[in-house]
Order: sequence, then structure tokens, then C-alpha cells
Amino acid sequence: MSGDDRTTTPKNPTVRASRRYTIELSIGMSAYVVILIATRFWLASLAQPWLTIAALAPALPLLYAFFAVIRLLHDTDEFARKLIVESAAVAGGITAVLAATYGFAEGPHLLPHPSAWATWTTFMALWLIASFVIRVRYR
Amino acid sequence: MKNRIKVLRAERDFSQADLADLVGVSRQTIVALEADKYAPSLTLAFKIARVFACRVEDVFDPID
Repeated sequence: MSGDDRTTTPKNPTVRASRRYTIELSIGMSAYVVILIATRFWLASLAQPWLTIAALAPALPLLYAFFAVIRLLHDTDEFARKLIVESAAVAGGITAVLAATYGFAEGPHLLPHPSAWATWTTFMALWLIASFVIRVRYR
Repeated sequence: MKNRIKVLRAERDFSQADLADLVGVSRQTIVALEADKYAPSLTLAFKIARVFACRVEDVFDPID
């Protein structure tokens, strides 16, 4: 059996899907950082409608990254798919419970009104942690 | 679900990566299967059995 040659396209569809995902996610995240920095730099000097377009522009590479995840889910093997879905479900569930609990405390002004970013960053952080924990569990 | 993948693989001198490539999954999937942490789909079970030239029931035992 030959070893894995990183310079050629792998025959294993799961390895191929994983490599494509890494490339697509890197492109998406790099574009996100570049667009975010560029738009924030010029945001103050823009007038409508360019202000709205520039403010929302960083969402485009995020959408591209989202479709990279969907493509990975579709193309990877069944076990990897199970890990991704399970970790996303755990992260989504905990985020929902945290958001609802925070909302209950926010109602009577026990806690401050957070930015919508808080939910996104909480979900992403929990997804990362859940991915790690679930991978260790299946070893 | 118990299985004999590790034994059959050793008999044929396959590494986990070799078997993973032959059935088109990641090495991590083979690791989870050998550790009895994951029950494969019928499709994957048949692919693995075919690689070892065995019947599915010769590789996988659904009764613990």
C-alpha cells in the first residue's frame, strides 16, 4: 500500500472532501478578515447606500464558509458526518438554553442587553469544544 | 456491535490507513469501528466485508 502523497489528488473521497473543506474554509475566513478590515476602515466615510453594502459585506464570505461546511457534510464519510452533526446539535442546544435563560434574566433588567454577536460567538466556541469532546469520546 | 476488523486487518497486513483508503473513509472511522464505538451503515459494513472477502456476519456480530 502506498503512503499518502499530498501533492496529488487523493483517491479516498473522505480525504479529498477534507482537503477541499480546509482550502474553502481558509479562502472564506481570509476573505472575511480582509473584507471586514477594509469595510471597517472606510465605513465612517461612506454614505447610503454604500454604508449598508459595506456594513453587510463581511457576511458574504461567512456565507461561503457556511456552504463549505454543508459541502463537507455532504461529501465526507458517515462517521465524520455523525461527529459534525452531533457536535453542532450539542452546541446549538446549549446555545439555545443559554440564550433563553439569559433572555429570562434580561426581561426584568437583571442582566444587560447583549449584542447579537454574543449568540454567534457562543455557538462557535461551544461547537469547537463539543467537536473536541465528541471526538475524544469516540476514540 | 462487536467486529473482527482488527484481526482481519492484521491477517492481511493492512494498516488502518490502507483499509480506510480501500473503503473510502477516514482513518478515524476505522479507529472508532475497531474500538466498537461506532456501528457502521449497511453500505460501509458490506464494503469492509468485501475488502476482506468475507460475509458481513463474519466481520460484524450484532450481539454483544
